[in-house]
Amino acid sequence: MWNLVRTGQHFFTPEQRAQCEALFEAILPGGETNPGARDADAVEYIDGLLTMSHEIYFDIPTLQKLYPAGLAAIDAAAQQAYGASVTEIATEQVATLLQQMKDGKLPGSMPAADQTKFFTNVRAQCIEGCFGDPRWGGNKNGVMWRWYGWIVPAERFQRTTLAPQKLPIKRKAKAKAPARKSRRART
Amino acid sequence: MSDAKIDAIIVGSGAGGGTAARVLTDRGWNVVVLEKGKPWHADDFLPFDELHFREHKALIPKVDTDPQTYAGLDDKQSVPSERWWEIEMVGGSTMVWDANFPRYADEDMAMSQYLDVASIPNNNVIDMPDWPWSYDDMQPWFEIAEHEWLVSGRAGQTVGKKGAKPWSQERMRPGYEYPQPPLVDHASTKFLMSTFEKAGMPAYRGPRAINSRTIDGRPACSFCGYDQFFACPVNSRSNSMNTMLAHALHTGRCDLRTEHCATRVGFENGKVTGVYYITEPNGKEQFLAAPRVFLSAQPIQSARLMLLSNVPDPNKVVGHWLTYHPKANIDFIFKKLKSWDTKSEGASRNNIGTLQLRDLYIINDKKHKKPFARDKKTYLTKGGKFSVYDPYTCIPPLRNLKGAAMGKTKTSVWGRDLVDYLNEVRSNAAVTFSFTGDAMSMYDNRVELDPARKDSWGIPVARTFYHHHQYDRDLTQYAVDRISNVMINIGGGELRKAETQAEANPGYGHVHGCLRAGTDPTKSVLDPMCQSWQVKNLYVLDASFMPTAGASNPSITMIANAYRVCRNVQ
Repeated sequence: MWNLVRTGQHFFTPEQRAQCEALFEAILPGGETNPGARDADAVEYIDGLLTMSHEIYFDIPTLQKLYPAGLAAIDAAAQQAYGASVTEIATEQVATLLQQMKDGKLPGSMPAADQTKFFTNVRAQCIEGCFGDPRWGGNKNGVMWRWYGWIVPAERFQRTTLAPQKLPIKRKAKAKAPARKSRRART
Repeated sequence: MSDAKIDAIIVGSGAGGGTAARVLTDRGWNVVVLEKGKPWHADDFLPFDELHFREHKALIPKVDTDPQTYAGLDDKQSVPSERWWEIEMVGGSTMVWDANFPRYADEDMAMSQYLDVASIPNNNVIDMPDWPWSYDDMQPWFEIAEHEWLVSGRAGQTVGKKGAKPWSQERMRPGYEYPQPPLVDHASTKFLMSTFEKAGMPAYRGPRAINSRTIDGRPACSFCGYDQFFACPVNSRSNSMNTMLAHALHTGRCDLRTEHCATRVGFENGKVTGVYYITEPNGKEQFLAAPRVFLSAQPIQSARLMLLSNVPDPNKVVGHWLTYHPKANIDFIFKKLKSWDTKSEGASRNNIGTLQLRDLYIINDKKHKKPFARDKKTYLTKGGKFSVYDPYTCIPPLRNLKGAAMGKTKTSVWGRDLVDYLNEVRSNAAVTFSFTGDAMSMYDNRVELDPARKDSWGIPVARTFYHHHQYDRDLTQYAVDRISNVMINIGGGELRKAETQAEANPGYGHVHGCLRAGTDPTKSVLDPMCQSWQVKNLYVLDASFMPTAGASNPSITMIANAYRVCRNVQ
């Protein structure tokens, strides 16, 4: 038998963890009848994985650089677009930024290829954190397996208390005009 | 074993190497097997964990330190590529294979009778010779291989016209039967078989090297759901270790030396002298002498060894005519049907790929072109086959969801689309098709040594050059269209995924060629006994001998060939 030894250490700062959690929730949003990444605590998986060695997964050293850069880039873009952190905006707004990330078109200094790579990894590690074995920290209490029907027959999921919804933040008109102007000035 | 008494050295302990050890020790020979990897015990593969074994790639060479490289479409790159099909452990890739065991057939070996090369545009780059032996020559070796690897299956599953005898789509000797009955049907089998029946394309339960009953001290498959990319912790699935090597080691005439990495083959005056090897990265090269050497390290690695050994190559054929099967993946959802298998305890009830659909093996019959032409709209003649299974119950969730699609353009879905996919697949019946087609063999598709990169052992890695011919790509599109037609119009399904073959191919598990066997020394590396034309007593047993790619999973055919060679070598 192989045995996973988890260190109990975490890689992210509290801010990074909250940002990553917001991104993961946009990859797999919870609904009234389906659990989402937040329900599965999928971020706990990546937060632990990033403290592990190259031996566990060859790409961990790359991800240790990519995640802080990607999270900072998307948070900066959220500030620019909505005047708020990526943790404060609605899931649909996070999804809009993620789509830009995927297309390599997120405003800011992150190179397009890195943006796409970051998106691909966020999607992959969100799915891993949701549907991987709970021993790795995500898929809390097997919530995703029970709903999806892996190992055990599929169960219904009914959210009893709705999480407080974040309403979409509308950019103030004042902030909008100069932001556009300055972008134009740069190009 | 004393090194003085060695009759043969076998490089690699997988499907070909294990078979060689089994057959040669059975003949009373003393053999040494050099295996680069370590021995693993079945118990090492527990607990099941998709993250560890599949996503984190615990069992495969690491791409950053041990890649092969791909030259790209401009043939100038050196991009690291993951060798997920080359498992470095005792038993090799048989430890994690899917154990699909369909035979190559007449249509794969007597190529000139089935493939109409003249009708293919840009056919001057194609080289599709007949194999140096026929299917009838191979048939006895298939039977031995199937019985010693304990294949489950059934002959004569296909019912013809009323009054006609049932027949086998993989042609069999009358009265022949597999050593075990087929695996129990998946819940989707009845629906799929009747749908294909209506379309005039009969499917059948494909042969698997997976136990359907307890046999040889190994239990029947428990349908745990962790199949391809996972090792079987209860030995229900045959591998080289629990079949071939177990027998070979039992004779006392097989010396299995692990963590022995072959670096080159020694030869003198056109005759093999032994094998050079190292036992640690960048270690001191040592030499083991033997009168015969059998390479079976998988095609690209065996070609790499030939190149590292500087085996004479006056006709520039070593490493050439590399082939990968063109591949297509097609998914459907059936909104009117509930998920398969909703009544059972666990969700996983079958191993992937048991149902086989071989109807497109020949698309237009070249021999009887006019009266029997089935699809005049296409120039394609030789096709391929499908493995058919349920993505929901037969594929572990991470692999399935990472590849989830909601239509031709909505691939790798996320957000609302991912939720929609999940809701759909956990409620409705789904089916996925994996297409394996024959490949147009081209001289320029090849293996070289990468001058700029070494692996973690300090040895230059293989660099591959590969372009799929337009025929390969058209074939996969044709397969998608034909299956879609049946599944949508007769089965009532909706298309969810349709991935076809691209021109570029950085590497794929169904790999063959690159050390071609043939009757013409100027156009092949090996003679019809898979012995090097240039170095006597140097044999190659992995799929690199295959003159063309064929259109089925290659394992049983290369194993049958290993029996043929090893029973006959002197």
